[in-house]
Amino acid sequence: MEKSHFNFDTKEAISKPVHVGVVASGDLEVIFRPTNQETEVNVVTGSDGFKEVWGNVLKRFFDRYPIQANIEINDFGSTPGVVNLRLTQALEELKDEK
Amino acid sequence: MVVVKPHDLLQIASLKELFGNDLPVWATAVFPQSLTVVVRRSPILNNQIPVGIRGQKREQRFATYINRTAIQKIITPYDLVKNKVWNDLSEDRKELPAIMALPEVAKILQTYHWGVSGSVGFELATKVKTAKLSSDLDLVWQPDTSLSKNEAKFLLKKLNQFGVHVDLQVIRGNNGFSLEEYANSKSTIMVKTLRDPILVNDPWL
Repeated sequence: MEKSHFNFDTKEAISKPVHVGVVASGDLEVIFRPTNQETEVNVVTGSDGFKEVWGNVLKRFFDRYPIQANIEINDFGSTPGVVNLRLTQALEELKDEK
Repeated sequence: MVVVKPHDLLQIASLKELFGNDLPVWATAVFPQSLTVVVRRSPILNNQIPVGIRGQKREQRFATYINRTAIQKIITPYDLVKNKVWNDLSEDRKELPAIMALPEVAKILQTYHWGVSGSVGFELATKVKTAKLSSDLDLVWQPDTSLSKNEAKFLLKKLNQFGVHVDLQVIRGNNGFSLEEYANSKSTIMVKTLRDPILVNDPWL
């Protein structure tokens, strides 16, 4: 079990919390919460030694989508493809006005 | 040519059948006990099968390939159910929540085409102690018909009453999705494919 913490200087506020993904092997849960503090990401993962990989995935994400949010990620050994897809799905839910 | 699908367990003759020389130390220590790899959900190119090695710890996974010709025996998650292999485990292993639940789960899924994957499936197939006190019970299911979200919720509620989290993956061809995600979803569902995962509105289509 490894916990990593990242901060980003992104300023596009989000309006509501979203929660995507499932607690299951090869998957992850992603929770976005609105915040007026600095953007913060906390990753808890069962796969140790990937802090740098997470940092890169998240940096690429925030470069493209500079949202200001408090983000919690609970990872259960997902592949980078699954991580990117879950982040995209969370963004889509943010845009979904329903 | 034999058909090999994601989640199948393949027995091979020796460590030498694994591609590459970059095996982690834990794998060289653990792998000879089972000589069994798990087929990964990834394309098979040039008869090279994408496989994973499983260690004792959750984070101990290693992805590699074997040649199709290296396969000595295929054990599918469905074989483990057909033969009720959990009856063969020692009494102390049967006390693990994920294993203890199996006879009851089997009653609920009697008419389903289902199998056991994950750490419990690996232990049932190899008898190597892989399941843990905290292990989920990972199941796969090949449905004949689709379920409504309410039916899915009802089924999951029944399966989850034995003190272990049951993770049921719905298998359609080479693709798979989580029944739990479908049951609770208000929008898109992730479907794992042989290539990148995709988001869909209706995973049954």
